[in-house]
Amino acid sequence: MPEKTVTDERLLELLASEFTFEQGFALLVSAYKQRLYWHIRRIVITHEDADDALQNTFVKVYKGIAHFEGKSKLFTWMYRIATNEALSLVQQRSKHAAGTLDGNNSAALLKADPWFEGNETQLLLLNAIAGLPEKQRLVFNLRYYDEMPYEEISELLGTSVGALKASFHHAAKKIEQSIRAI
Amino acid sequence: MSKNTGQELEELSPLLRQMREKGDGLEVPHDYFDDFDKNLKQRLTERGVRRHALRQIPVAVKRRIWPGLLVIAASLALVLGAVRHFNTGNEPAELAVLELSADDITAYITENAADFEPEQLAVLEETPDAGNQSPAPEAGKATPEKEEIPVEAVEEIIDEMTDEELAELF
Repeated sequence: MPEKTVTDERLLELLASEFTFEQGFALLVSAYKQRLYWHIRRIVITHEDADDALQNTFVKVYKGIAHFEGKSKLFTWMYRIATNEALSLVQQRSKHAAGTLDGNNSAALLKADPWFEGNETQLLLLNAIAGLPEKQRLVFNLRYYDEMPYEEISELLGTSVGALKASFHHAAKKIEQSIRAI
Repeated sequence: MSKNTGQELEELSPLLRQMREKGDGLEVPHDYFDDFDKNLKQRLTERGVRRHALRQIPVAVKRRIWPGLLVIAASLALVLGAVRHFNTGNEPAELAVLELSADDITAYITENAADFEPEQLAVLEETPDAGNQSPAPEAGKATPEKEEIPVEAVEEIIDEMTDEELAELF
């Protein structure tokens, strides 16, 4: 879970000065690395890819914080970068694997990942989630695992709360059916 | 406020709620998050990533910060104003006396000789005439408006004077 002990206002104050930038960035990484890691991990599945995507996310934040305009929350802005990094990595991997991430190849990835220690039921659940369309999968993960309020997901994905609720309910029904079918 | 995820799943899919409680089986290496910062720093160095500080604190954030800064600035101004105000009426007497000419002081002491102790007058007599010690003004140069007297002599006189005397003097 997040280890957030510093406010975004304080972080931005530190990041706005050349003298305190490094201190601010270190605090920012410390505050958000775990939340972003789990968000990425559920998209890319393996720890190795998640680590790569998370580091790239913070590299982009490091380079691009000068362009942050405060139109959204700092975390929302980073979440978008992290999501793009994770999806981009999945697409690159899909090109090499000649396919997309679905229940079949996610199962293979999970079994090959030394950092998956789940049982068969957990494997089934992750496979079912991986089989969802991309946006539905994001909504499901944000709500199911991160317990993010719909209002925040709405800000993050630019989708209405009503549409998000419908998407989550639809995804939950599909996953349940998928698990019960086996 | 919408329901929390647990409540929502309870109604939507008790199976998924149960599965969620057992976790997803995904793990991370021991100390991964502790070492992450170091690894990130290494990647930034390897790639020679250049960073730029925020061009400015976003307006939305400024709105939250400015009131605090204004309070601090106002407090500072109040303290400085108070210090200045209270200092105005209490300038050290020595500084004020230095603005007097030797003639003024001599005239005052002569007029109030009865108020001084003999020792004080003796000290005054022993003090060389400040005006005589000053170099004679060179021809063509303006004569100073006030004669200079040794600071020590003035301090001695002031030290011996009572508050009432000083008040009367000024």
